[in-house]
Amino acid sequence: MLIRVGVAMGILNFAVLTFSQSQVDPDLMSMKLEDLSRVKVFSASRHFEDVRRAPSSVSIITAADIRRNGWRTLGDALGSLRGFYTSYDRLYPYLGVRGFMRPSDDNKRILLLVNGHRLNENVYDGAYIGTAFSLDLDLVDHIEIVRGPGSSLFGSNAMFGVINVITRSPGTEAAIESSDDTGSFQSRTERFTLTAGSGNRSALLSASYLHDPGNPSLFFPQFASPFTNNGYAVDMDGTRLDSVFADLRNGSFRLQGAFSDNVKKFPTAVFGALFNNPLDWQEDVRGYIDASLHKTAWSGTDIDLRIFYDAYDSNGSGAFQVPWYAGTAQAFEKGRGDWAGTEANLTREFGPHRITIGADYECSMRILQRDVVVGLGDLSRVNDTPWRAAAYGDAEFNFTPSLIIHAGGRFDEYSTFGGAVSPRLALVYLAGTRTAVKYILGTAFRAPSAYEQFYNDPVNILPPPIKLRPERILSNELVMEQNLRPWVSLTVDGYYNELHNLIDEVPAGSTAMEWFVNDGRVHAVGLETEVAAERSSGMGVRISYTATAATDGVTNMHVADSPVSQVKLNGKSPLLRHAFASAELLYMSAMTDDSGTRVPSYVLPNFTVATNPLWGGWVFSSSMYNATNRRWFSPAGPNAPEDQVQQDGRTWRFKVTYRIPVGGDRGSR
Amino acid sequence: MSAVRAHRLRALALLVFLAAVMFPTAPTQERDERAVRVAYLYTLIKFVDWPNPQNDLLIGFVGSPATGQTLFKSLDGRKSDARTLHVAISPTDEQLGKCGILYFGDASEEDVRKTLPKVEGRPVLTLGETDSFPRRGGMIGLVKAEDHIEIVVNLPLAQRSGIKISSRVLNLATIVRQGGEG
Repeated sequence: MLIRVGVAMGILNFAVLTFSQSQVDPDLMSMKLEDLSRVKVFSASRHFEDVRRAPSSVSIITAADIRRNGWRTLGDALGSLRGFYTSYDRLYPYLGVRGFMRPSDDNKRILLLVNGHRLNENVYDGAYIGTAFSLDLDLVDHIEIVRGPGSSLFGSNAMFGVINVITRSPGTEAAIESSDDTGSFQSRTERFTLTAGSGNRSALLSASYLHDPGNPSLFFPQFASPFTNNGYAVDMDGTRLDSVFADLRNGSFRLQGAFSDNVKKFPTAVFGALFNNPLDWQEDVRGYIDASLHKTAWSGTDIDLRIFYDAYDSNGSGAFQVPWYAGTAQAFEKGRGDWAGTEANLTREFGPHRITIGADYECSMRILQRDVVVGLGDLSRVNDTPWRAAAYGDAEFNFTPSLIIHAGGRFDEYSTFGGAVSPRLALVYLAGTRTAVKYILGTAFRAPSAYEQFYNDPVNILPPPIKLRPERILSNELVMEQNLRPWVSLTVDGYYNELHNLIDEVPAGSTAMEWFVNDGRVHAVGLETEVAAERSSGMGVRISYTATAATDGVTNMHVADSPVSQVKLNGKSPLLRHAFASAELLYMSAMTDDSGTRVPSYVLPNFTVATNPLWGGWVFSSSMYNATNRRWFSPAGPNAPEDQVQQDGRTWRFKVTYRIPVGGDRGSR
Repeated sequence: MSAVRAHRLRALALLVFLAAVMFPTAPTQERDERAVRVAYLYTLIKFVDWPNPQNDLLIGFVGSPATGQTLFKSLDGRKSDARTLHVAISPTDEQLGKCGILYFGDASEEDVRKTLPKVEGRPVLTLGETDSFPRRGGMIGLVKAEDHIEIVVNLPLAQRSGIKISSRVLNLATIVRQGGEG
């Protein structure tokens, strides 16, 4: 998988670097010693090379970015990027990319990886970017965001991009690290991390706990009735999260595992649950164990092997009026998935050219979906055991130093719907050392999720009337990356996306129920412009403007939940030598929600001050979000009674991290 | 949005932008940490005096082939002041005897343990990449701290071997004693 991530980014890894590493830039070699000491470096990860050469539009978010901006969730970090935006229905945050968002779609049109391990689960295909994301953000070294279709290497879900979260290296120095934060609504997060190592062996073990009572009183005008507490959901916004992560390395062998249990109350009475009822909550339990081996088999040839076991358990609880049951009852929608798989890939250099081939196989031992009414037993129960297998390849041709051609594709075979082919072509033209122009023609698919294919119950959802086919995207993208000055870069990125066979939940004929069908078509054209500047002092700014016109191919109207304009600004500056101040401004133009109602535009200013390690290992940070206390809304999904959900006003967080070296070494590295 | 809030936001945005653009310092951008370390090494050579200066300076490299290759391509045959630099990847014992610099780039602890004693007590500038390197028998650590590379120098060790490191380096560096705190 590492090779695939490297190929996707066009960034060479491990042994590949061995034979193709270029000279250090002359400007770096001519720097003064004092200037070198201020040069910002990418993390120790070896697969950073030169994003200019990547056959995609790539962004990198580093641990320092996360810390200095006070981002609390993966969604916060991704929302700062051009072309990305988020919504939050007080159950999950959802990611919109390039004018396309389906609130409540569990982000299944994005592929989310942790250290190359696929995180999208096998019941709903969800990629969770809020607290249900399995990893504490403090453990992140960097996040690689590869925009555009990625199915030619990664298969299903990689329709709008691949997000690979790389955890920090355990290192070889023994240390104990502890982190504690508190914030608005008396939220509290604690983390305890151990690292140790010797020689080629290293280990990182970490446990985190989050308790956030959430906003104590939320008003929902749709429920403004004396029978529903006048529209106030009281103590219905809380979150509790327990998570652990382990990363053990011995030379080229790596064993990683994660487990998280996230419980969120939902105040929105989604799916017809009773409003303001403490039985309305959702639990997501996610875990995996993953063993991988990276070997340089012989000169110029690298091999990656991986074997994994994954599990996901979703418990959606709600208080419902059940027609044939006296009074209210607690009902659960349960989804339990267990799956395992393996993959192998190989990269070989042929002179200046490079070929990657690979194959993977994944089998679901169980995808059990149940509807349970307490006291009545199972209303519905379906269990399925689908499998999939795939083979893929990518060739990188470097016939001249200034032109890189990437051609690749992947064939997936699913036990459920058959085959899917995902070809891709990318041309990268490097004009001198400062300019790169890329043309990318990509395709991707999303296999129907188990929920869409198999779930049915006697009350809400019927099985699909005809077998569901995969969703498809065809994308044309033209990117120009230009270094205006050594410290200023400009990116202009234009794209045209065509989406077909989108799976939507629609009324099931003349019944009062619904079913899933391949119904939707969307085409979107957009332009993203970004200027990033950073001075050696650490002062820097990144400003982006995104304009998107996304049209529903059926109605020919602008699609819902799609802002036409977005402006993002992230500025940072050193403060008094020992700290950093960061400011973030997020502007989103107005959009319409699912029901056609206008969701007002908003500007959110967020501020963070974070210290560098002080007194051997103390790091303090303080953040204020929505500093102007702006009243703003997020569009909600089709199953919510609200068209849009009001978000929090001004909130804050204060965080302390302390690292204690064990065995005499200095800490806080 | 009220006019007052809008005005406040615009002022803030302008302030951040102007501050970022106008701050007058030397240019830089995010770099691969290997490249920065190689540039450091090249620059450091000018601020180090060996007791027996030669026209040719041999740099031995032990560790990750990727870093070694970068080092080789960037420095082998290059001039530094009047000296010509040569790079030997995975040097033999004979080459080690001629090295003026020995660089451990992402090297295993075992490699460091085996190789470092071979140059002990001799005027060979030893460099590593970890915080622990200069306190376990190495002279200089080019250590990633936050998102920058920091110099950590074991000054007594360098002095014992007859190598003089310029105060310009020492002013930037964290000084440590072997096995102790800095």
